[in-house]
Amino acid sequence: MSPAKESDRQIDAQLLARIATGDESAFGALYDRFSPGLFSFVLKMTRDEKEAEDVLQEGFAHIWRRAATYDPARSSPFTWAVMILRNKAIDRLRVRQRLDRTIEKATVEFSHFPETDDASAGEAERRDEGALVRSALVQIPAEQKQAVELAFFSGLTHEQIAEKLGAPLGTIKARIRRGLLKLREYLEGVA
Amino acid sequence: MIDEHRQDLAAEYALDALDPESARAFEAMLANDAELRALADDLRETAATLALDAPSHLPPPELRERILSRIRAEAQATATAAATPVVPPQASPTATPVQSGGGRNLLPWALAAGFAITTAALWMERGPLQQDRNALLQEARELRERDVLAKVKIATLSSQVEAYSKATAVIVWDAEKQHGVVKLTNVPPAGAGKDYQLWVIDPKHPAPVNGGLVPVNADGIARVSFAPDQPISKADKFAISLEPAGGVPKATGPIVLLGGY
Repeated sequence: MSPAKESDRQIDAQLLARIATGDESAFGALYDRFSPGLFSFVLKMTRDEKEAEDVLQEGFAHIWRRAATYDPARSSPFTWAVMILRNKAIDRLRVRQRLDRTIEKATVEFSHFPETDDASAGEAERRDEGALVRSALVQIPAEQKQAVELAFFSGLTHEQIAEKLGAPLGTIKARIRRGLLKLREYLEGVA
Repeated sequence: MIDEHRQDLAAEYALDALDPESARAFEAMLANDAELRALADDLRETAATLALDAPSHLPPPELRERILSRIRAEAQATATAAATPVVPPQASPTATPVQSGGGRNLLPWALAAGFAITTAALWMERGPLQQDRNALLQEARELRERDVLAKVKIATLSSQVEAYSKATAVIVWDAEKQHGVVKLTNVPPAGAGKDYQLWVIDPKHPAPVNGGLVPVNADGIARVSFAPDQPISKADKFAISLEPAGGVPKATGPIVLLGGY
């Protein structure tokens, strides 16, 4: 891990430790650091700005309540937050699927929202990281990339992905595993 | 060396794709296998980087204050609950509204009302509901087709407590006719001696206005027409709370769902 990343991780972990004691200013600071990236992420998942706002609100409320459960030995604070918001977004996607049976719509079309140019200075760094992830995804065979992205963003279970792609469940699991391992290898190689 | 089966499990675990039982079993494996645990953690870290592969969008500036207001309200409610001994509710509700002199039970409602007032403008500025809310719009279309309602507004409520995170709540409100329809899905049972009750938060009223009971069936579904027991000038927010069976004239129980247009 680069020194800059390690420093960021330490700052975020310290903020979470303060949030666990009820420190509202630390919560505000963490919100400022994480919200642009997390909002972009949940917007990509939900494809609905109102819903993305609701997920962000629920996710940060969860972070506020559960900051004490964060384990720095298991993940970075950003990963911890991403997984919290992803689960909140998936809950909503599944409710939506149950409500209006738009499972096809919810998964086939990934959003292509026009990018904004008014991102904060901190966002520039995140954009760089985003570019790194995108370049890593290019290295992965298309079918693995598709399976990994569906698994991560769509809220579909692996069984649903198998059904959707018309491939055996074992094949889908293998694609996801190989895709993640290759992604890890590439990201570690450039870190 | 970690075999492919365990690598598969690690990948599924990293993506939270294991069912609860399998996840518990895998966590038991992790407790005794540092290498596997390192792989699972690495894969989760890797998966989370995918979040960065999203077009950059900033959240609306007012959302920050809305979230801070929410956590302040939660903190205050928690502090109040911790500082106040629990008092059993009234044995049974009366038909006559009861004047509530104590502010303790009204605190969450005061906070909710404050939240409603400060954010109402933001909610109202959102404009028409977006396309993805097909299900909600379908509800309205259905009602219109049946001539139940002519001019309506649609409110969506979101969960205020973890147990209701999968619940959906839609309220169709006709201000002209002063009545509405509430539909809930995926709502946990109210429990013995409890009922769900609907409240309308109107800035003209100091306390939430009683919208009546919302009976939920065994499938967690409710669909109820309601008319508040006082005239509503502006229904800023709607809330569902858990109250003693039969309902109460003034809200006392925890708010489980809250939202507006």
